[in-house]
Amino acid sequence: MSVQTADAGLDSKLWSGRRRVLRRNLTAFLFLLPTFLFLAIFMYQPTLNVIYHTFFRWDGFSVERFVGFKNYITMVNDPNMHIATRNLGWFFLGWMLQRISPFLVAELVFNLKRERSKYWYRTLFVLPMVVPFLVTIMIWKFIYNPLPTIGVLNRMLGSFGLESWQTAWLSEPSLVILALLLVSFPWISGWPFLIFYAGLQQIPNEVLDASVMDGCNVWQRMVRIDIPLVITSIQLVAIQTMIGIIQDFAFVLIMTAGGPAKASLVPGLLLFMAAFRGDQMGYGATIGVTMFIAIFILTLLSFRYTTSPFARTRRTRET
Amino acid sequence: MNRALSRRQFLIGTGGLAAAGLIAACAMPAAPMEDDAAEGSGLTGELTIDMQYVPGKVTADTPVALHEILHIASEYQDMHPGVEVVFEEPFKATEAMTQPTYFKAGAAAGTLPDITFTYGLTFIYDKDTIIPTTEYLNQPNQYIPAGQPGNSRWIDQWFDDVQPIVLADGNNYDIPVGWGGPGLVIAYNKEIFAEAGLSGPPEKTYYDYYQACQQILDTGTIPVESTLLSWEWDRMVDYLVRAMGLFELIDINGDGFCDDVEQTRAAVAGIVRLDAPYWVEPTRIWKEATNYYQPGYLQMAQTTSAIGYGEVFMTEQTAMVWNATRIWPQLMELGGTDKFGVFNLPRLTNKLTPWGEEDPTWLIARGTESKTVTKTARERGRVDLAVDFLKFMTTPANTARLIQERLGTNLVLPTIKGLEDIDIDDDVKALVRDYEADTAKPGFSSDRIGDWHFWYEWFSATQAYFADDMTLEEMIQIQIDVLPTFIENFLVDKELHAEAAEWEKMQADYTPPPWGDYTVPTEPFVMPFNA
Amino acid sequence: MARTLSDPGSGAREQNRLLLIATRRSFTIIVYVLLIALAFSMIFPYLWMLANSFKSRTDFFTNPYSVIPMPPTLSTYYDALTIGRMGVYLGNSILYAAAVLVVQLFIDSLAAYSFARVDFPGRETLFLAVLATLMLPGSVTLIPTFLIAHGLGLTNTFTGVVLPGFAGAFGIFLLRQFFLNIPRELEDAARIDGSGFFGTYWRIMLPLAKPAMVTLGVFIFLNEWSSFVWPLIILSDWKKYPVTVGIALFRDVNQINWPAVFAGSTIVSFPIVILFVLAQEYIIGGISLSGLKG
Repeated sequence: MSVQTADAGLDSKLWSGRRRVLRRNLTAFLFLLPTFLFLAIFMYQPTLNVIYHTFFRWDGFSVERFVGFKNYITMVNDPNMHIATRNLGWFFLGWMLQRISPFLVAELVFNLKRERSKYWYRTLFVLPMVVPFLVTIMIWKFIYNPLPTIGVLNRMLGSFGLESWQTAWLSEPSLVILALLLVSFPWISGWPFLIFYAGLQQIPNEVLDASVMDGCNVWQRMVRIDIPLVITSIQLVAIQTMIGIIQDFAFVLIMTAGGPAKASLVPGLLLFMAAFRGDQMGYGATIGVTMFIAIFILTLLSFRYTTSPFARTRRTRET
Repeated sequence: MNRALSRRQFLIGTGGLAAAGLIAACAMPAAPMEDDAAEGSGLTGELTIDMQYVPGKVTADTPVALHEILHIASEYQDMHPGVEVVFEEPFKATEAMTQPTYFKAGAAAGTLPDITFTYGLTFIYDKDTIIPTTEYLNQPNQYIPAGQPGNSRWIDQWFDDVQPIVLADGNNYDIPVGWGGPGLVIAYNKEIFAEAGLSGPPEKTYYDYYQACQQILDTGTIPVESTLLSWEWDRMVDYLVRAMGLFELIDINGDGFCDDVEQTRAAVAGIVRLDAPYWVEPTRIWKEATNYYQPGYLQMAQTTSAIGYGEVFMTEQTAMVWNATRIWPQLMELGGTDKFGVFNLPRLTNKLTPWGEEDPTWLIARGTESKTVTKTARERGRVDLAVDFLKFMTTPANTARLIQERLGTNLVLPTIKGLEDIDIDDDVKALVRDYEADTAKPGFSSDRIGDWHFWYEWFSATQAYFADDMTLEEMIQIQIDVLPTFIENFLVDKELHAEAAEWEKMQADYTPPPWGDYTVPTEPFVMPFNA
Repeated sequence: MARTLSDPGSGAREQNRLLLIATRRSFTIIVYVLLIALAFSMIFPYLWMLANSFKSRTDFFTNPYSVIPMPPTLSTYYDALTIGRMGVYLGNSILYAAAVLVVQLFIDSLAAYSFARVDFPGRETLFLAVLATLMLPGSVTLIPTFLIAHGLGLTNTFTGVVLPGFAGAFGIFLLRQFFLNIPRELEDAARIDGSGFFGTYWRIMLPLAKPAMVTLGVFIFLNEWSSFVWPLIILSDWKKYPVTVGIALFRDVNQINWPAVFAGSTIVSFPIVILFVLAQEYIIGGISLSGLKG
């Protein structure tokens, strides 16, 4: 019945009338209601609580004493924070590359000719996600064990006649970050792989066909077509990775506890120790809130310098 | 299909879902302990307790089902009709990462059982979550026959040195359940010892221990597996603090212990110092001793202990391993007492450093496994019941039953008097005899000075010093620099407590004793037998 | 290059072409070999876990690297299922993950659709407010969140485990990106057909977003599956524990029976393996159905 009345005028009448707009906005708010209800209870309230407590000497429960900006001043002057931030810079570079690099593998698999081999490779690359975190860490602790009888790395160096290179990998301040970055080599994390692959699948066939017609080789196609088209996927992985890296502490805690001699200390670990080891929840909260601000700014920057979702919404608004 | 209607239905549905969420959130039954109202302080009602294991069940880490505690509980129930002892599942991944989180949250919400098992109390004791037991420890334990220690005063049934510790507010908060013991025994591989020409465990001093290490090292085997915990250093400091007559000065209330408050006061007054032989000498010795430890020893304790502790020793690549109680069942599986032996931590004598005594009294560490009565018990009005049950549980007879049964899963040593008859291997029993016969004393427990911040700085500096990236002076200076933060935080907390004034007075009155001129030696320490 | 291929000419060109085919073939072989090597090194931890789950404790300690258990034992699996009660935990985990999966997908897609398609006032601020929840480290908010849940009487309840997971900023972000990529023309057509806002969402956008929903679904499921600290803190009754906490129960400060832990981990990995195998088909299927391709 609606088909007869369908004309250009109807569309504007349906969507641009004042009442329509109001109604549409109301609908949108209703759609958002459940999200904000849950976020308010389990996210915003605890967050405000935490921000409030950054101005307190606070143990998480009963001891609560107003100290003004002392926690923030302590943090800015904390030499551990300086070391941790510098270390985080290296981890950031390394882990960001690791999480983006599966794009190349996704490209390789995507360009395979046979559907069956595509299927199997996808499965193989995604499957490692089921291995518990602790098991992976345990394997790498075995690999790095300084005793050549146990540690594979030192054993391999020995069998190549490189005995002088053998070392206690996690006990060398100059090597420890490198050793930690090497963990889970060759770094094909299943999750980015999945996102990138899904992104590549989204590229319309016409575009791919056109690129073949134009005589693009694989490399040119990747740089000129694939990357611009899956940039939102890359951005997604990058933002998620950034948040993960800045907040991480469990990995470093279990591998080295920030050692040796603070060479692998990260801010997340300082936060954890302050909050759960030292009854200094207030200070931990201060580090947490600072991380939050840092992540917030970096996220905004990433929107600015890549295809911003906001730019996109503006474009859609014009149409 | 009417599309407008379906949309309306949907919107109603969404609202309904949100409302349902809210209702569910508000209407869920309250936490279990709040449903049953307090039933007075009489010895009736339900008592909840968790053990370090699941009683009566074989679990992955308890290969033999442990029933004794169930029998003890049912005997107690027979004695007190109306009491029901309920065992809760313990959370056993008590690794450092999750245990404080778990305990804090449980304490805040009151979801802990009435009696809970705990390792470290200092992080929680004054947060109104666990109940002081001092009063009860000074009461008689009526379950002990007349004339035996503990009958007139409960606390007497522990060996002097392993009595419940006193925390900063002067109270006890825990009940050592009698199977902690020194804990830090060293296990050795008899075959490797024989190959190195050693007929048995070293004599009971660090000099002999290190000499044995050297002898093993000379045959090309790594002598010891351990982790960078401060155990070794801490014990050595304790012996020197005793030898130099400092202990009595720090122990201002004269109770034979240096509790947290006394240790903190000592720290405030400057026990950590560069011109103090008791602080510097053990550090130098320890650094030299790292030659005897497995590669990777310099990693943080947690990193090695969380995963596969003892793997190097068990694969027969080292002759000894520290803290052998943790891997006792595996050792029994791998060759038993024919292959492995144990000995107590050595003593520091003047054979190794001129500051030591010739024949010092054995200093022992207190066991770390204890029970604590929680806020839950107070809310339910069951503190008296909880304490009464603990009195029954810790009688020598019952303790012996629990220890004997647990031997199949863990090496346990008694801390309660009157357990001569329990059936332990002779090698193990010798350990107990050692500290019984030597009328051991508690150490100063220097490892209780400071907070996480202090310790983190100290560990990091130690790693740098051992790796020759830092001098000894720099390392100790870091310790000195970090202490004020700890003291300041401590005092901020203390201001919220009634004991603060008293504590500050103690701090003001203290002056460290002189020990003559001492400067940090520039040359590294050399083992006397190598000199 | 493609042009050279499609344009056979003189003998020299023919030779060139053959050479090119040969290079291309060897290139393909290199790609395959490379992929196999990468896949093997990524899959190794899983194989290692699998192999060690059949070892006795002593065998594991003496030969941690050997991938062949000597002699293989099934007792670890028996232990994991009986002593370790993996069956109970597995059931709980599936329940938790499924509940969060269904509810969160629904709530997220509603919010994402609003954010992507309606220009309501304050939209960007609200969207940032949603994103901001991703950015505060969970370890600081843990205790305040717990106290709220406790205040609501959610401790030791099924609801308490899943409720905080019902809204997810990441899911909203991901779905919004996908909705933005879907051409508006498809919706316009539906609107012209008289479809309302919800009708468009339900009948047009959701089917189109299927691949994204599947990807997000996998993510939500995995996330809930591996969540450890929250259920640990909110639950006190083992009958309600998920597998993560259940496996942690295997461990203890004194001893870790690693082979049994591996056996337990292997058992609990099966549902996820199956999920991946299924989800893969759906991702492909979803894309071909979505009308975006071909």
